[in-house]
Amino acid sequence: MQQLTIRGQHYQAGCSQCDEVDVTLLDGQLLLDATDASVERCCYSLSELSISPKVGTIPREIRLPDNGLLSLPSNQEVDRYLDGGKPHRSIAAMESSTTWAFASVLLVPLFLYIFFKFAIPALAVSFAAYVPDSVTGLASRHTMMALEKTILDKSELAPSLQEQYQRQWQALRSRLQLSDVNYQLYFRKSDHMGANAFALPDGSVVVTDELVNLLEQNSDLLNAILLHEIGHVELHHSMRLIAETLVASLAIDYFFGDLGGVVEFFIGLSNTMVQNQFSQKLEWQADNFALQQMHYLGLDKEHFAQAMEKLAQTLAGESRVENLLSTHPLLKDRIDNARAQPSL
Amino acid sequence: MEKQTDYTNSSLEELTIARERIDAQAQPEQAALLDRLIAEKTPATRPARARTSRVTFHGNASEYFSIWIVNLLLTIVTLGIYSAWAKVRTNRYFYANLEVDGHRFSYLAEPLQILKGRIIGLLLFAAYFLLGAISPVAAAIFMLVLLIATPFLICQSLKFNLKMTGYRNIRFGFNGNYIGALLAFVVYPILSVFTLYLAFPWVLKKMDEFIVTNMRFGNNEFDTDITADTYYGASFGAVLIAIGLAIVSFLVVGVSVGIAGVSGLSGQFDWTALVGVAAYVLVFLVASSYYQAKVRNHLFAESRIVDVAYFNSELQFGSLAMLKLTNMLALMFTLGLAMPWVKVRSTRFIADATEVKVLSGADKVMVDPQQSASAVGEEVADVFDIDVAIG
Repeated sequence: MQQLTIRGQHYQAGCSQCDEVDVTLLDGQLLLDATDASVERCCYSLSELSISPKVGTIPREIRLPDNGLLSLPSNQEVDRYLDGGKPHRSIAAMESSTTWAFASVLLVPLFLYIFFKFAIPALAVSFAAYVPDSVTGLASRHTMMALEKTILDKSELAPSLQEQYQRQWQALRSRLQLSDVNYQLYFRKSDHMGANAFALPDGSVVVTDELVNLLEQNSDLLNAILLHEIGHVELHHSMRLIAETLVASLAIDYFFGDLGGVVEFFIGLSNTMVQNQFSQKLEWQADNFALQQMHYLGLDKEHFAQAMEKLAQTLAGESRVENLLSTHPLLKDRIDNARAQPSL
Repeated sequence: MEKQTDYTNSSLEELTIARERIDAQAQPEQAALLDRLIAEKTPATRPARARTSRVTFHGNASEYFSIWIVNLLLTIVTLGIYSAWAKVRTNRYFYANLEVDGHRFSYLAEPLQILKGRIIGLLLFAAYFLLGAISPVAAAIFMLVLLIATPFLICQSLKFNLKMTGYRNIRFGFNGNYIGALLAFVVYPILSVFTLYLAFPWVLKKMDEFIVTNMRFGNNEFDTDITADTYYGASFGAVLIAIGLAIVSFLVVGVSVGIAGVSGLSGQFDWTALVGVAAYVLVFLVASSYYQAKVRNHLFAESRIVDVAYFNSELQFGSLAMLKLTNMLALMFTLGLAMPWVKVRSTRFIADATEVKVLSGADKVMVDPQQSASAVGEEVADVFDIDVAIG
C-alpha cells in the first residue's frame, strides 16, 4: 500500500489542548508529525491504537496509548487504512448500502408484523399455561378486593332470583367439559361499569345487576354471556393479555425508544392500539368458544346475538375509528359473527 | 519550518494565540508587530479573548436514514438486543456531527454498558408490571420504593450521559447529589400542588438550576444566574396560548361537525374524534414551543462554564412551532419513515439557533480526576420514562 499523509487534530491526554498535526498512514502503521513542538514525533503500530468504528462520515477518532486523541477526517482512503483494507465487512458498509436500506424499508414492517401478529401471541400462550394456580388465585383475590373497594357494590337483586341464577349456573357448568377450575358466580352492583360481566383467572365470574336487568332476566341470554366469560378463563386470557401487553410495550420501547417529545405521544397511542388488537383477538376467541359450546349444548346461537344487541342498546353508537381505542370488537361485528355460525 | 505569516486577516484571538507561541527574545520584530495588531483590534469594552462560534451540525438526512433503518432492522432481528449498539452508533453520529469552534463532540459509551443497564431496566419494569397484575398493593409499594429511588436514578442518568459526552478529549461530568435531586424533582413538585401549581414555574427553575449548577466540563464548573420570572412568563404564556388555541379549535371543530352533519359526511367515520385529537396535538405543540423557546434562550444566556464559555440561544417561538408541526405532519404521512429527516432537521435547527462564546481558558481545561458512573441509572430511568431534559 502507498502511504497517505493527512492533516488531523491531536488532543493531549488529560487536557483540552489541541494541535494540528500531520498524520502519515502506511501499512499497519501511523506516523504523527507536528508542525509545532508541543506534540512529539511518534510512530504507532495500528494494533496498539483503539480506533472507533466508522459511522457515516463522522471524523475517525483514534485513541493513542497515552490516552491522547487523534481526530482524522473520514474519507475512503483514511477508512481503508484504518479498517485494515476490509471495510466492506463492517456494519458501516451495511449502513451506507442502498440495497440494505431498501431491503430494510421492506423487511422492517414485515418483521414487525410477524413479531406482533404471531411471535408475541405464541409466546403469551405458552407463558399463560405455566403460570401456577397459586399466582392466578392471588391475582384474582387482590383484583376482586381492589374492585370491591372502588367500583363494585353489594348486589341489590332479590336473594331468590340470585339463588335461581346460581342453580342455572350449576346446571350449565355440569353440562360442560371444563378444566378443574373452581368456577364461582358473583352478582355485584356497579354504577361505574353499568351492564357488564367479567371473569377473573381463578374462575370467579362477576355479573352486574345492571346486566341482569338489561337482559330482562332472560336466562338464555345470560347463559350466552356466561359462556363467553368461561371462555376467557378456559383459554387463560388474563395471563395471556398480561404477557402480550408486557412484551409489546417493551418491544415498542426498545424498537422506537429514544425519540422524545410528541413522538412519545404517538408511541403511547400505538402501544394502546397494539394492546387493543391483542385484547380484541381474545374477545373473538371467547365469543367463538361460547358459540361452540352453545352448539355442543344444543342452545340457539341467536341468544348470543340477542344478548349483544341488548348491550348495543346501551351505547350511543359505534365507530370504526374509535374502535381502535377500544378493548372490545364492535358489537355489530360480534352479532354478525354469531348469526353467521352454521346453526343446528 | 519557519515561515513569515501574513496577519492582515487574522482575528484577535488568532493574533493572541500567535503572540503566545512566539518567543519574544528570538523574534522581537514578530512579537512587536503582533502586540501592535492586538492593541489595534482589542475593543475598549469587550473582554479581550472571547471568540464567538456558531454551532454547526454536519449530519444529513439521507445518510442518517440509511443508518437508522438498517439499525432498526438489526434491532428487530435480534429481538431488541442490538438496540444497545444502535443507540451508541446513533448517538455517535449526532454528537460527532456537532461542531463548535472547530471541534466535534464525541459520544463515548460502550454498547455493553448500555446493554447491561437495559437488562436491569427491563427486569425492574417487568417486575413492576407483573406485580401490578398480580397484586395492586405490592405494585403500590414497589412504586413508592421507586419514588424514593427516583432522585438517585436522575443523578445516575445525568452523570452517565454527561460523562459519556466528550469535547476536545475532555469529558463532561455531573456531581449532583441525592438530597438536591430529591428536593428539586420530588419534594418541590409535591409541595407546589398545595399552591394550586402557582409555584410550579419556580419548581421548573429549581430543576434546571439543580442540573446546570452541578454540571462540569473537565475540571471546570458550570454556573447559572437564571431567574424565576422568565419561567413564570414562559409558563403563563404557554398556558394562555393553550387556552386561546383550545377555544379557537373548539369553535372550528364545532363548525366542521356542523358542516359534516349538514352534508351527511358523518356516517361511519367519526370526524369529531379525529379533529379533536388533531386539535389537542396542535395546542400541545404550539404551547410547548413557546415555553421551550423562552426558557432555553434564558437558560443559555444566563449560564456559562467558568473560564471556558458563555452561551447564547435565539430560538424563535414561531419557527420552532412550525418546525414541530411540519415534523409531525411528515411523520404521519410517511408512517414514521420521515423520522431520520425529522431528527436531522431538528438538530440543525437547534444548532443554528445556538452560539458559544469561547474564552481562552477553553484550551486549558484539565480532566476531572474523579469520574465513575454506570449505565444503570440512565437505562432504568429510560424504561420508566423519567425524562430529564434541559430546555
